Amino acid sequence: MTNQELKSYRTQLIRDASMMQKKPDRIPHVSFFVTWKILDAGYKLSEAMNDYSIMEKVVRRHQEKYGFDAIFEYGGRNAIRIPQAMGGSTYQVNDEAGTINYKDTAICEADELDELIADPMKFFYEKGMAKKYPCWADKTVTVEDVQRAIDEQSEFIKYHMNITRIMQEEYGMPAFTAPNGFTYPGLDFLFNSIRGIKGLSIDMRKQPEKVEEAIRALNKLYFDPGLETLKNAQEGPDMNYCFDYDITLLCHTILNVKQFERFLWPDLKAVLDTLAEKKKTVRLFMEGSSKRFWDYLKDYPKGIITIHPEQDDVFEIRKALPNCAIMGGMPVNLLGQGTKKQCLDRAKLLCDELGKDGGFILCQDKMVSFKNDANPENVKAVCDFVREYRV
Amino acid sequence: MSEQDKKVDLTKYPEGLKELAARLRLPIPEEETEKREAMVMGLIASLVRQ
Repeated sequence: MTNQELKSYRTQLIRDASMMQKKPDRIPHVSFFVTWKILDAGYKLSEAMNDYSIMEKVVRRHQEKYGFDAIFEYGGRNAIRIPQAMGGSTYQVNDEAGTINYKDTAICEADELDELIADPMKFFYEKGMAKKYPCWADKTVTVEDVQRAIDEQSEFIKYHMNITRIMQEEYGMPAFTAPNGFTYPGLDFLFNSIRGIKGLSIDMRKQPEKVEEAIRALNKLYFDPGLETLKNAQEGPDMNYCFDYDITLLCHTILNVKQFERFLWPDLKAVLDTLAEKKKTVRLFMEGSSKRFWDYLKDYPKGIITIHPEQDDVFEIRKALPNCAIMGGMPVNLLGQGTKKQCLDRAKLLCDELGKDGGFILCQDKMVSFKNDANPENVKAVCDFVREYRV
Repeated sequence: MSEQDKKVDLTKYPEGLKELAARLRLPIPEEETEKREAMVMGLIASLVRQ
């Protein structure tokens, strides 16, 4: 196969599995390896994350060694050079331990929510930046400081476009998600960057109306325009991509069903309903456990949602949500701590049980980050097995 | 801080944003003020999120 043919073949494998209309030729296998691939290539995290030419070598090697059908991440997840250019220290890379620590800074206090609600842009510009960047807080920032960040952002975009092209043209890798807008639910925004886990948990109990107001204000920035873009998108799947849409949810991990229904579901439903109307597919990655929310997904048409669970049992999902394709199933702790035989047995079980009628994409259950998360021999064995195995 | 930077407090919204949009080297023509401001605000929002 030429690289172009290989790209089409791999895209089709994932499309067949996710759309659930046809059993794919074989089970597709997706890489959810993130910083692990840097360490696997023998580099320090800081070396690759600060030098895009090294990151390119890392990504090339990952595919050359393992031969996945798609790679979720091409080295852009922790774009540390952009905040570093402004003196930010959100990411702390520890090369000895092979870890990245993310400093979880809540940029808004409970008594500042009204200010955030009144004008989120002004709040980010004045208060958010001051909380994260010392030069903003002490007002010593110069145009040159911001220019460095702009230049780094351009370098990052250039790297990303280049590596995507390289992987498509030289390795036959498919494009993962079609550009159909970015709907970032206000609650996830509050959770991830603005109030943090503790602050948001308290707010939802003590001042739930304020949380709703904040969600509405934040949604005007990303969610509403993103949803509008999606609503204006052409109907039907874009078969040049593995998926039409991608949603990663984190904030649901602290929600009970009542809170989910009140604060998150209205936004999530708006996106999922639009995708269903447009007959477009979505990979829905839900960190932690999402079991208590599965009922909300059960009435969507078959082949719209591909659920990628982090902690939930994939066999249980198949029974509870026969309308959803499944991505995942390979536990990172097995890849890291198990024997080669255990990993291969698990891969075979997943292919036989979940893949026998289609609707299954093999993938790791978590973003693979640390060196001990996976034994390279286990990863290679599973990749080789899945490529040859026919259900 | 340079003399020019002292004229406008770059950390104030919207005057700091407008100043940055006017003075930064961006891949957008100078006359397209709104687009330039949107690009700088995009960077700020991304820096805050990171």
